[in-house]
Amino acid sequence: MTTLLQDLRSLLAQPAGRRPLLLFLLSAALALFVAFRVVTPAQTERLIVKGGYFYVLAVFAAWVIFAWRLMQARRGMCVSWVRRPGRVGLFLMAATGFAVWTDDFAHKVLFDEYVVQGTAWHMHLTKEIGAPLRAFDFSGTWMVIDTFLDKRPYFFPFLVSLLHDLTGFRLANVYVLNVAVAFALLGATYWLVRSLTARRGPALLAVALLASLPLFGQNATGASMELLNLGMIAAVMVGAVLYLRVPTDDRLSFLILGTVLLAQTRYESVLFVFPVAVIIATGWWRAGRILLPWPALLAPLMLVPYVWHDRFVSSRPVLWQLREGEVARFAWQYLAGNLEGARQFFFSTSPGQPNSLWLTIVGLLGLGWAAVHAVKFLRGRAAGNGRPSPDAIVVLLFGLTVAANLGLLMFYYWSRLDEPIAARFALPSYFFLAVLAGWWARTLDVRGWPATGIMAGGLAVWVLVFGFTAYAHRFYTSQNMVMHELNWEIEQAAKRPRPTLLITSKATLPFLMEKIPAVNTVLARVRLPQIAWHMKQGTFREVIVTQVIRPMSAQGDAIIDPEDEFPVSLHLETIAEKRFGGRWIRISRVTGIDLPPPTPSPAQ
Amino acid sequence: MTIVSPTAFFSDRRVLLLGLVATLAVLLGFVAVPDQLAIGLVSKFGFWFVLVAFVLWLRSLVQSFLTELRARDWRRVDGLSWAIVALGTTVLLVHETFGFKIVMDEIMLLGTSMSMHLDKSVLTPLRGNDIQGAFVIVEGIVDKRPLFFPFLVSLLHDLTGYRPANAFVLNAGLTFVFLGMVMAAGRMLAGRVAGWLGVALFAGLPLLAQNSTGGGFELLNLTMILATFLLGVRWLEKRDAAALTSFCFSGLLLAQVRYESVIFLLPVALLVLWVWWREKQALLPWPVIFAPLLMVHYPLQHRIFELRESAWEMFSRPGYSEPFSFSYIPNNLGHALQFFFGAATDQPNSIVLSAFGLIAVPFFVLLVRQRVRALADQPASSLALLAFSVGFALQFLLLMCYFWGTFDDAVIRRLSLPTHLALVLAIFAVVPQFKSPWVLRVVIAGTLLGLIGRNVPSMAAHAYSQEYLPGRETAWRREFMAAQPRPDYLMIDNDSTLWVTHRVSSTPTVAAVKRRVDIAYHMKNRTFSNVYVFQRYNIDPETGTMKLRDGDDLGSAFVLETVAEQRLQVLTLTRISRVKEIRSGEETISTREPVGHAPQKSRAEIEQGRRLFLESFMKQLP
Repeated sequence: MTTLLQDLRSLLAQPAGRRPLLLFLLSAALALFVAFRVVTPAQTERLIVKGGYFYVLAVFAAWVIFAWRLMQARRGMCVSWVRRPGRVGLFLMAATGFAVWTDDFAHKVLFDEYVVQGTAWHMHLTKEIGAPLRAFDFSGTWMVIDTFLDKRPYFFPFLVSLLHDLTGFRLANVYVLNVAVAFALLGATYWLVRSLTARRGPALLAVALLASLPLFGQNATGASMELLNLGMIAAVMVGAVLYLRVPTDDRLSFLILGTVLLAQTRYESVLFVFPVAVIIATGWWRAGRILLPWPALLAPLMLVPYVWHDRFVSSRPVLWQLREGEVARFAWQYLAGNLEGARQFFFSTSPGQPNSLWLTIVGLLGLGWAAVHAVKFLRGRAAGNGRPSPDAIVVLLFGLTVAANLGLLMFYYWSRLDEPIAARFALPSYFFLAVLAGWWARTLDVRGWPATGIMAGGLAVWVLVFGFTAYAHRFYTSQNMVMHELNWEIEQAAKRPRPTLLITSKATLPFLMEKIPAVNTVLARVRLPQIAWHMKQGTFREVIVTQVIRPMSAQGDAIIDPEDEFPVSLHLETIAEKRFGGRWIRISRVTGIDLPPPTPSPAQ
Repeated sequence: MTIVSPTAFFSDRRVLLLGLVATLAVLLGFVAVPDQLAIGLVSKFGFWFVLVAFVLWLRSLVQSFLTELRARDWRRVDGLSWAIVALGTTVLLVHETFGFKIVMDEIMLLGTSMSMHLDKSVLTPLRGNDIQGAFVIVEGIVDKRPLFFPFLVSLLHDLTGYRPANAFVLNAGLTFVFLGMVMAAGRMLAGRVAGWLGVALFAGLPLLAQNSTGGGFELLNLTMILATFLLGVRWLEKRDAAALTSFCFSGLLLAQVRYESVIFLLPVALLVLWVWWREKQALLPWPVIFAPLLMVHYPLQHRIFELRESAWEMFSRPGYSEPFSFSYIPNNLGHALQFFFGAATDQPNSIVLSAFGLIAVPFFVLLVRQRVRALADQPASSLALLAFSVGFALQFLLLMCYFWGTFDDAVIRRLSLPTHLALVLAIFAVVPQFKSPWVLRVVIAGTLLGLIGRNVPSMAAHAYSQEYLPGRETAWRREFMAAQPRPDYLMIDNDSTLWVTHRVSSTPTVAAVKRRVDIAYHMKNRTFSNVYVFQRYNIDPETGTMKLRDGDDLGSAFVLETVAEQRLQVLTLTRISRVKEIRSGEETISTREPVGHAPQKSRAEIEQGRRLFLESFMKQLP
């Protein structure tokens, strides 16, 4: 480590490296100033709404160009692989098919996924960033009249909007994207483990471990950004390995642009900036010169929109989605519960959890082996022995970041991995466990143990005994009662004569996406006169209301959920009712609204 | 090891090991495990036993056939013969409606496949409910029926998702496989044209069409009998480990399709011993050594017959005290003749097959006598046919000794299918004995004439199935299910498994009467969109009064309103009613309470209310 720092210091002392380095420092200082000083949170909102799309488009375009240039440099290999993918290609396709087969295409994390869909839809229509809140049909045109800037990063909705641009708007585009990302991610997993082990078997084992994970299938068939996040982590790792192998400007640019996009995929993925910084410095050290192509110089500035977005979200506690009694997003008080949840999730044998006990076991054993290996190496390195391989450095640094990420999540208010909504946070950890399992299997193979075969056999047994039961029940997806409620509400609303205005205490987005005008219950309560006016004018053929009915005791004693109560001036007639688990949804038709008599004007 | 004497044979280590394993299997299956535990073990591990046997069978088939398949010139495949098989399959599948034909057999098999798919356990659901968005089996029993058929259906569920129609998909697929093997057997025993004759004979059998479009295990039974026979021929020809393993495991799996098919283990054993004797060597690959252990669950499951008197279904035919007796033979033979030569409106038979088959049987007996005298000179196909004819004869004898072995009974007809197969094999064996080609031509002409002139019209009209009321009621209930906009209703029906296997909450009528208060609780709390009851009335021909079938009466506490009824058979009325209310004395205890308005309570208190309700909800599930 000391040698590395000394080498870097001498590099920085070279006159050739000074000028670009100075420029980089200037860029970083400017980025800090612009990110934290120049604009207020309210201004950041406008900047992101108006310019966010073009910013992410530019970064993405540049990343694609550099990816293209890298592929052009090894054109023969890429073309031959695309033309003749061989058995590995078939295996990757089969693994993707298997993952897709394990669950149904559906929105699994309801609010998140609909907001992302809504943002993508708005991006497609306006090239602005925002999620629709209200939309109506005006003379045959479905128009959004109210939007909000969501807390979620917008690289994923941007990609979905690109698909809409290219193929026309449809909700299913998000599934197309996630299936494609699943395939690319499994391909990257194969590449990384193959690169680490120089063998096919362990690489295929890692792919199989990941593809058979119910959580992977659940997200491959969902509408969330989790798989893209994992795909970008894998892509950045591939970029990092390529860069460390042969540090060039193009490879560094590809790595940096990928990292910026990764930071724009999930909130906490900005953490990966740190291992990438270390990798860049290691690359300089390996190359014996400082490389600073224009994407590297602009990298700090490219991260400014992330900071702006974070400042905007921090200034709006309503976007944090805290539950009753919670005041902070991160706190010590959440640690014990989250650790217990993680233990229950990773080691569960119940079909209720989308985990893979076998992947947990072999992955943790691989992790233990990797830790011992790393310590031994560092000791040897201190004694001046050897140089780590690029793959090993990348896996070590990214592994530490994933661990830090998981550690951070353990302090987050909603990170009990055994809860259906939070299980997806385990994906990066499982990805790493799969990579480490493949790596460890190879080292055992070398020592004469048929570890790859044993692990593959163990996986087959796990799939038969536990996996198939989990895939058959899909409790982790099917027990999402809000999903069932929402589907039923949409189905019922779609059956009513159009145009029908729907008042709901759920998010309006799922209805708006189906072109059903919808307003939130809170808003509807204060705008009853306006609704009454439209009923009188015949704007809507019907106004319907969805309400949650809750039991209050063991005997039932059902009440309307307090959040769904309306003033007595709103007259309702029940048209449908259905039970979902321990509560019911009632859909009613508004038959009349009593308005207070108009206040006489002073002239009268 | 070369066997020169019985002493040497029994001192072979592998033979000794097989003996030990077999002894252990007998101890485990018949002696060591108490009855209740036995059923529990079958429920937990039955699936895995069948899975292991099935995987080993597939593995041995691959080992045995892979080289030949690779070397095969696919351009020389007999396209015309396969086209005839496809045509025969089409004839069998297009005239009958896909549906569950035999109640409760087919529904129980489907139920077992459901639990195998969901939990890898052997359990036929009796009560099931949608609890938290997922349909959950609340209560079930281990069924008496062997496990191989539900296992295969559960594999289809695993691969394509759960749906009751997978049973029909499997049977339709098996129909093609079966006819393909009939063609192969015919070609092997009597030449290419005889193969076509076999396909035509079976394509014209309405009973086969009825089962090809049903959800029962008869097609699998036929297919496995024929597969085992063909693999037996292969074992006699190849005499290697892969052929032996595939033959033995085929027999082992066949024994797990229908109860009486275990008889066919006898010809399997005969052929294995024959080759060992001829080769003076006991070839014993390791899967065969451990095969007896993979049968342990079979006798364990058979304990159901000791635990449940009703499993023999003696109540179905009053006046009988023993399930098996030689005294039943004359009566059963009469019924068999009535089936084989009955009118097309009454029986799903094929007069042509029956006639040619019965003509061939005496010739076949003579042929057997002749061949037994020179066993060593017989080709493999003849030897296998001799051994299997013993199996067919014993199976027929067993059925004739069965108290309910009346082939002309709507429920029992299907048991004659192996006998039909035996008749066709007898025709295959006898036809080549006639030098003149005209014999075969006449048989084919008669078969085609019978197919077009009698059997296809018989299948198209399927009048023979109209008398079987439970089958028609099942079809009617499935129509009712399909017509409902939402599956979240509760059906009270003594055949609750039918509804549960279609993921509709259901409970038997007897249980509903006992749990009246619980059902009232759920009606009060809007658990189900509706509560229905399925009932059958028998009508007195003299007075015209309707009387509920035994066990269908819910009592006066349940106030019913008819929603659908149909006279599916003369002097019966089948009805589905909605439970309007449930009373306790004069008081209605099921009225939905009006939804109140929110008292001043925190979210935590509201959540606590939901938890308490769910606990109570689970306890009171019907």
